[in-house]
Amino acid sequence: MKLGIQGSYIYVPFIRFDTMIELLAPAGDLEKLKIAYLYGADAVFIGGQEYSLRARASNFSLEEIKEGALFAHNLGKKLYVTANIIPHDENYEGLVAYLKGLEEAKVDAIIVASPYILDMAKKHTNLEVHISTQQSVLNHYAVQYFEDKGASRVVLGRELTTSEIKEVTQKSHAEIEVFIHGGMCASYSGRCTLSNTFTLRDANRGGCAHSCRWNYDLYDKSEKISDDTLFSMSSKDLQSLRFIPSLIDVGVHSLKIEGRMKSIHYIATVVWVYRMLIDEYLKTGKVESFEYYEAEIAKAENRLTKEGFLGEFPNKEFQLYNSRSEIPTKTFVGIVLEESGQFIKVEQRNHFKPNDLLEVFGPGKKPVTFVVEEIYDTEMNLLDAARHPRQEVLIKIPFKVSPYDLIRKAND
Amino acid sequence: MQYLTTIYKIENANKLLEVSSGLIVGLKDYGTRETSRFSVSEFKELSNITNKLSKTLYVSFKMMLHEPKVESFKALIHAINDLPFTGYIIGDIGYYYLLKDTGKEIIYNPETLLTNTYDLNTYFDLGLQGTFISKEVNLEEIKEMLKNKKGKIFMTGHGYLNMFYSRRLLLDSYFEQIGKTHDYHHEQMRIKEERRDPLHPILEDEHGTHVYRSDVTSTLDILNELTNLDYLVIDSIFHNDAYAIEILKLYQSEIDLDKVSQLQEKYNETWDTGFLYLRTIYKV
Repeated sequence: MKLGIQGSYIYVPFIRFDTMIELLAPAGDLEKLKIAYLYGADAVFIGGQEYSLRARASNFSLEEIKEGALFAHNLGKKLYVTANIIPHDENYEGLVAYLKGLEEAKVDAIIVASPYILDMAKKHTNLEVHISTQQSVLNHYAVQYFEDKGASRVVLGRELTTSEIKEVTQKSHAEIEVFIHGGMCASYSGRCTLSNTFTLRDANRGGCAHSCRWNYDLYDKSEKISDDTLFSMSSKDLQSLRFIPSLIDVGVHSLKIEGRMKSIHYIATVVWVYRMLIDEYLKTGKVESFEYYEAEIAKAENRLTKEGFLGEFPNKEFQLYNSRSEIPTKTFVGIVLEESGQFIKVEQRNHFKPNDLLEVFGPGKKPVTFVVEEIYDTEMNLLDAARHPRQEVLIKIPFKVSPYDLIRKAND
Repeated sequence: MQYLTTIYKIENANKLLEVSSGLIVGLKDYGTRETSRFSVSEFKELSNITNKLSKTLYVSFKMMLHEPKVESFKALIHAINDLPFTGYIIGDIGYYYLLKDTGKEIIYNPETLLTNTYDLNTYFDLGLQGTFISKEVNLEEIKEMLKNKKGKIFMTGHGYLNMFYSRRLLLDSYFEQIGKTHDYHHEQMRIKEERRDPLHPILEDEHGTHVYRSDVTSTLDILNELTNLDYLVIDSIFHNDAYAIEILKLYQSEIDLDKVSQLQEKYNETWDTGFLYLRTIYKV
C-alpha cells in the first residue's frame, strides 16, 4: 500500500484544541509512522541507523527520515529521532556528520542520553534536543542540569509516581515528557548491565537482550527457595488510561507511547484510544467511561499491563512470573485502500473468509462491525478466503469507510 | 594511585586505614548497596578517626534521588557537612545542585553512563571534582579515558560489581507471589538464571532491588596500566572488613599468585576481569 503525502487526500481527523499536550507515538518504519500520525499522534519518534537504541527496530535511513519529516510537517506535526546510546570513544567518529544529516532532514528534535551527543548537537547544529529516559531523570535538579546544557525537553524516568511527576514538572522550566504506554525497564533505565554481563550485548548501545525478563532460581545461601514459580524481574507493561487526566492537569507537555517494534495494528489502536481519551477530556473536562477505552486498547494489546508507578507502589500484581506475557488480541485482517465501484479495495494482512464478523475503525471513528460476504481478487475472481499477505482484495462494506481505516476480526 | 575502601564496622576503621588512603561510607536512609549504613553520630566518629589520621573520607549517595527525599536530604547534609570529611560521591546528578555550595568535593558515580572520555570529563566543567569510570568499559577504553582525563578519576577495582538497580521491591513481590514468609533482607540471597550455572548476589532494601555479577571483579593484573588513575576502590560488599584488609595488602604488594589462589579458596569465590578484556556489541 502506498501511504504518502502525494496521495489523493490527507485525512485530518480531529478537532484541535488549544492545549499544550502532545501525544507522541513510536514508529519502526514509514508505514507505521504515517499510520501513527493519521490515527492521532501529534508527534512520532523513530530511530536512525546510527546512535539509536532498539537496534532491531528496523531503523530509518536519512532518506526515510526526510520523507517522514516532510509527511509530518505537511500535517502540522513533528518528528523526533532517537540518538540515545551511551557512546564509547569508538562511537565518536561520524557523529557530527550524522547530526547534520538529521538537521538537513528537518527533524524537529533529537532524543539523546549522552552529554557528548547533546553538546555536539548544540555546537554543530540548530537541532532541538530532548533528554532520553536512559538518563533516568527523576528530580527537578537533574532536569536543571540538562536544561542548563541546552536541552528543551526531558523524558522522565518511568519510576515516578503521579505526585512526583507533578512536583518535577511544576519546578522545571524544560518541557516534561512521560511514558504512558508500553514496555517498562525493570531497572532504572540506563543503569542496567544485565545484558552486557550475560550476553555481551550492550544495553546502553542498542543491544539489550532483556535479561530481566528471564526466569531465575532463587537461593538463600545454598538452599533453593524457588519452586515451580521462578523468580523474575520482569514487569507488566505500562497502561495509564486512568491517569491521563492527572498527567494533563499537572502540566506534562508530552505523553509518550513506547514500542517502535510494534505492529501497525497496535500503533493505530493504542494511538487512537489515547487520542480519543485525551480529546474527550480536553473537550468535556471528564472521561465518561474508562472501561470503554480499556476494552478498545485490549483489542491490540498483546501483553499484560498495569499502571507502573503512577498509582500504588508496584507489588506482585505488577510483575510477571513463570509465563510469557502474551495475551490474545483481535486479528488484524486488512487496510482499506480505496473505493472501487461498489466494492472496497482492501490490502490483506491476515487470513479472513466470507461470513467472518469483522470490525472497521479509523482515525477519529469508533469501531463498526459487519459480516463480510463475497471476496474477490482485483481480476474479479471469487475467492474462498483472503489468504495471501498483502494481496489486494475487493469486498463490500455496508457503511462508509475511508482509506487507512483498519479491519480486524470482531469475534476472536 | 591511592586506595579507598568500604567498611562494615567502625571498630575496624583504624586497621583499614593502615592499608588504605581512606574510606567510602553510606548513611542510614540514604545509602544503598553499601557495606553498612551509618547514623550521623557514627559518621561523626568515623570522620574524627579519618581526620586525626589525615585520611580521606567520602559519603556515598548511590540512591536515585526522588523528590520526596529532597527536604530530608537537605536536613541530613546540614547535620553532617561541618564535620571533617572529604566529600560526597553521588549516583544521581540531581544531588550536585543540593551539594555544590557545601565546600566539599563532589564525585559523580552513576556506575554506568560514563563510558567515554567526553562524558567522563564533562562533569568537571560543571564544577565536580571527580568521576568514576563505568564498569562496562574495557581496558583499552579505560587507558584512553585516563590519558585524556581533566580531573580526579576513580574506578572500582575489586569486588562484586552491581549490574541491576530497580526501584521495585522484587524479592518482596516474589515472596508475596509464592505465599512464603522468608527473611531475605541480608547479603546471602542469590539468583541463578535457569540455563546458566553462576549464582548472582541479589539485595533488597527500602530503595529497591540490586543484582550483582556472579564473580568478583579484580584489576590486580592491570595495576601497572592504571598509572593515571587517582583512586582505586575496593568494594567489600558481601564480604567483611578482614577481607578488605587482605585485598588491600595484596594489591599493594608484589604480585603473589599463591596468595591470590589462597584468597579465592578461603572466600569460596572466583575472581575475573569483568569487562576489561571484553568488547560489548554495539549493534545486534
